[in-house]
Amino acid sequence: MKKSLLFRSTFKHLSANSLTTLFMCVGIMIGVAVLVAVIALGRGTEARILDRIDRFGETDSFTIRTVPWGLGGGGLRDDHGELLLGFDHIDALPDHIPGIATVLPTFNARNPVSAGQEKLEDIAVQGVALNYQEVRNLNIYSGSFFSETDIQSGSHSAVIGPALANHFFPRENPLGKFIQVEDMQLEVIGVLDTRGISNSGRNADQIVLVPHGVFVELFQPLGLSTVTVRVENPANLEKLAAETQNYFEEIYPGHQIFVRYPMATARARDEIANTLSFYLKIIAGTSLLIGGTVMMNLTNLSISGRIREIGLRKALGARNKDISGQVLAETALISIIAGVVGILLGYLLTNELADRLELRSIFSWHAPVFGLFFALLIGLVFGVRPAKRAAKLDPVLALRGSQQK
Amino acid sequence: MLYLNQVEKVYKNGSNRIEALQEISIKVSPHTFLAVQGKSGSGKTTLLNILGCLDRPESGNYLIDGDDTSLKSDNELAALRNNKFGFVFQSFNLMPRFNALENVIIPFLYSPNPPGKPKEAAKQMLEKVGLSDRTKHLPGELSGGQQQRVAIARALVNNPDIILADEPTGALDNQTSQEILDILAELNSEGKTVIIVTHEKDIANQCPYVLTLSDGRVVDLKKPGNDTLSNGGVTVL
Ligand SMILES: Nc1ncnc2c1ncn2[C@@H]1O[C@H](COP(=O)(O)OP(=O)(O)O)[C@@H](O)[C@H]1O
Ligand SMILES: [Mg+2]
Repeated sequence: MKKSLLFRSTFKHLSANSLTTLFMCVGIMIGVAVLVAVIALGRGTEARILDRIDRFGETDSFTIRTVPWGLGGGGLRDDHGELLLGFDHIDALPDHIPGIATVLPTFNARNPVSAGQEKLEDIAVQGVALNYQEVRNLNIYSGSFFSETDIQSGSHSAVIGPALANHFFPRENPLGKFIQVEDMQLEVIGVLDTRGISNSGRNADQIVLVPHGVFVELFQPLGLSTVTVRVENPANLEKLAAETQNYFEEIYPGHQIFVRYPMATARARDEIANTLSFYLKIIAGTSLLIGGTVMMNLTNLSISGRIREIGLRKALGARNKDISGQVLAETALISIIAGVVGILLGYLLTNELADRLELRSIFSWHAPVFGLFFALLIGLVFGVRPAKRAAKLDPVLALRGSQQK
Repeated sequence: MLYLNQVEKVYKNGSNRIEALQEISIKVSPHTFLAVQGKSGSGKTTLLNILGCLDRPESGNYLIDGDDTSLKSDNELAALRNNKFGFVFQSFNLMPRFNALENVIIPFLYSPNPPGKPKEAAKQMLEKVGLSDRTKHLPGELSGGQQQRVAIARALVNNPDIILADEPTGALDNQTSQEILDILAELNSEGKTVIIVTHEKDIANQCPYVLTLSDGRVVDLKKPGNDTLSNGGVTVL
């Protein structure tokens, strides 16, 4: 019975002083709304940036080449006088260097590709070994990727980039259609998700993937100038890359082996994630602090206007902790109401901002839970001082104050 | 039995010392109907506040039924205010946003054992002061006399032994004042101790016991002709 009386009396007071209550709410509401928006947009933006990084730079693999990046290469025969790494040495790599999980030979050729009357010059054709999809983080937009059997048996099939699909089969379903490389017909079994422009500046969507066996059949490579190596523990990436470099430089004395590992992107990834969440926390913290300060001052103000009521309650038997409890109940109730409204506002704000600024947002339980938690925390933390002040009021003075009015 | 022994109360206003109460030693037996009169500033309100445990004496002792209040904690005094005393004020001191019934219920909030049906209990009290048809009215919708009756109902709701009323008729016209005084006299005849502060001679003269204060000291005590202890009583020591 007491609780319901206390609640009703609290509610009554708040609704009677609706303007003060409203201002208190606004402070908290804005704080919580910003918090919610910041969490949702922050997580969305972070995810998008990390996504972009992950798409082009895997953090657990490095790539070695016999020619520096940017100088052609990717050759399969020693036509251009470049060094080719022998298949036997490549295959033996995991046995020689513990910690290497898989070796992914990069079967890369640039070749004309056609379909019907349409023909495109200089398209990247890549041979796919087992694990290829996993290492490259490729996503299939439609159809499917090669099955293990496809790769092992070298079936005449292809997975193509979306740019090729659009070029060759506009307004048609490319699945089941055929493209031609050299004089081999390949059935399109899948289309990749778009990846845009790759790190090296090429259109990563203009690509044809074929099973490793098909690639060998087409181009009869003598060796490879590029190999991607995946390690078991990303922390050892740098060390294992150096060992691999030594390994090949010993086998091919007098030749330089070039290594590229995505440590830079791994660090950038962490840095971006940390910077973002740091600023987001500052923004959210500041807005909640402002909300709390507004709350505290208004609570103090409202207590000054209620000295007479507090004196009376004490005369009727209220203990100090009853008075402070009442003030805290009021700030808590305001906080919860304002918190809930703030969360809703935060959702609207997020959607609006996400639309206008073309940001991505991720809503999860974090935003409402933190929002409400912080609102309540602010209400209680910033309510304590006013509550103590109210509790300490001398009832005699408080009642006398009323008699002068 | 309320027993004040050499009670003093001093207010310090900067270098000013105001001796609001000096050497007050009185006993008030149960069932007494006492008026405290005196000029403005003579210490009446201060005395009533000490009697009601809203304030503590500067020096001296205040015993309630033999218990020394100076040994009690603030929370224990709050409990006494809640169920031993009922307060009535000159300015009514009702909560303006609460209707009559809700105002009467407030003391239950601070009571260790409120009744199972607080609304019913509060309604009974309003009935007792003749306001059963005004339970849903806000104070602003009631006359001064009606507001004071709500305040009396509120003072009664925890069934206290003692009613303390500071100028309960100070804001009311003569006829309404008389009605309020009649209610208080009625409560006294039902067994409650009633102590009222007033500066109106008419009112004081209707009370069996009249204590007169001047500059914080007791200067006079008027007793009724038939002063017997069964009828309550006041002694100045
Ligand atoms: N809080 C206070 N601070 C200083 N002086 C006070 C205070 N309260 C009362 N007084 C003084 O104490 C004296 C007695 O006051 P009070 O008991 O209110 O008198 P009464 O009720 O008889 O008018 C007065 O002189 C008053 O000015
Ligand atoms: Mg007075």
